[in-house]
Amino acid sequence: MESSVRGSDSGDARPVAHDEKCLTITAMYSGGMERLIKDEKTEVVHKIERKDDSTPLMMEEFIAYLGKTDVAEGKQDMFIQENSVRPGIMVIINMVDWEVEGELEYELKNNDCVEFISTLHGG
Amino acid sequence: MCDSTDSQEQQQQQEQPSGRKRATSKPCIKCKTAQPSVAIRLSVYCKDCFVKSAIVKFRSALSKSRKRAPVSRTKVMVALSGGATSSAMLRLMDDYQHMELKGAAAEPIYAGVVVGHVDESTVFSGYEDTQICAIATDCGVDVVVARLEDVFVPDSDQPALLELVHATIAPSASRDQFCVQLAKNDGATPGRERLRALFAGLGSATDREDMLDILKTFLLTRLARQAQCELLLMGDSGTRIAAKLVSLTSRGRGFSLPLEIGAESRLAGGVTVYRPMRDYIMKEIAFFNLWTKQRSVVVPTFTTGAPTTASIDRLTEAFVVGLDRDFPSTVSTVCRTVQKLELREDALDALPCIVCNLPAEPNAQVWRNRLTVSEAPNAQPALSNASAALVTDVKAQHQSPFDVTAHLCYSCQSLLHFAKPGLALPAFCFETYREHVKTAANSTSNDWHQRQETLRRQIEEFLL
Repeated sequence: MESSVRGSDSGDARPVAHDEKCLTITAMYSGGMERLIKDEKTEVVHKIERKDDSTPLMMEEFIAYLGKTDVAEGKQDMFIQENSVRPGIMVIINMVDWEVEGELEYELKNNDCVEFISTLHGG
Repeated sequence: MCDSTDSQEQQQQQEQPSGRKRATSKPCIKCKTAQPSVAIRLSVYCKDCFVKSAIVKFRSALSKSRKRAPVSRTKVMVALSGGATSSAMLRLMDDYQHMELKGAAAEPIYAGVVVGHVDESTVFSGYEDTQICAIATDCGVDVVVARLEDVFVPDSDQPALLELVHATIAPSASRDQFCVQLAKNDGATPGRERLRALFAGLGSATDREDMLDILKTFLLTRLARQAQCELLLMGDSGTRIAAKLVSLTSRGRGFSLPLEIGAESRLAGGVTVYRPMRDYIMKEIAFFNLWTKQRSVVVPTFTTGAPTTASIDRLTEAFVVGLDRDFPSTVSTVCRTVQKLELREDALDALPCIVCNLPAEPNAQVWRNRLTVSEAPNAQPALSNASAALVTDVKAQHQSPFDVTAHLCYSCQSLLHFAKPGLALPAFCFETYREHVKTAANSTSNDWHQRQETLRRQIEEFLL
């Protein structure tokens, strides 16, 4: 994990194995998050075209993108707060806590799986 | 262990630059070798160490209580809503119950574990009943279920309900008054309809959530008593307890607060409640469930999907969770404060409020009068003989209203203030009220008059 983040910094390990400039990223929603998503989907696969191959897709940008594509109309406020997710929503990148991965500064790679779990409303 | 963790946390805190966080390069703080997978309060853990430490934390939470009371013949009820925390608690309890089975003299720790569940399908649609039972059967424990509408099941002895006639509290009223009348509860109106009417009749989402909590606590303690469980485990996470501290205080529940959020509290009816999940923040629970593949469901409330301003509970939750993101020790600091809270001495023998069944501070009205402008109440005993007679003979005079202000705690007065007239209170309210009347009738004379007389005699010599 750590090495791949560093790798993309140095430029040599940038995800190039996949098809040109297209990233395939799976977004998963649970713990009540699915209620904010269009058609209450729990899993959405995104194919994201990158215009410029040299700029990596950061988590911050990806969250804003999900807010437009996945989140149902009028519920964006319950997903996004100040360019990040709302407090109380856990973000898990490939089964690892995003706080370990650098939160908004994580660079997404091809075939990444990002899971959003809401812990709000107790349990 | 705690000291070392704290010092490491501080160290990490100092090293961390302000603003945005970067990917961590440190290994797990427990095994010092593996790549970390989760960050809890600035400490990083690998998956294995995290799950292990979550299990150890639960064991030590319950072992502390075990030292104080022998438990080999105690039955335990685990309250399961099906949500993340209670599902994790059941899993951890199952592990705890069987942890010593691996040893030579193997015996389960408690005499038995039962799951108690309150079915809320009457009020909430999309309720996943079968899934919740499946969570319990995963652990191989018996489940007992109560339905929310059970609170309206007629009492065979004297089938009556208290029906609110009118509620007026200061400042608009010269004197706080909660007048109720008795209504027959012969089962002609189904419990479901009464339950829906109860929630529909309350003034706000905050009140509805408050009432839902009261009903669930009542049903769970009753289930525990019926199943002969002395212990009831409630799944309140640290995050939840911190939010509850703020919301309950703001709703005027300070008097009974330690009973509602303390680590251990003895409720009326001889059931002791433990809250072993108080040491876990919601994030720990989410990751524990994720990595142990523990199933859970989403438990809806009245404000699910509503904005944060929908109720006091939602607002305080957003406040606490928001603070905790920027200052990761918020929840644990608040929880440590909660641990220091103790019941006031006079709360131990205070009469329970007829609605929430928790100790009610006498003279809630005096409190309210300090905050608002209203006329001084007329000196009169809390319970008139007329209403005592009324309760002993329901059928004769069930029409004339009577005042129950003295039997309601401050917070439940606020709860009922905005309720619609004609609202039928759950059956247990009448039962508790009847208990109060019996206690009052049994005492040799009216306490209030007795106290006044004693006082008068004490100062007699000094009177001019």
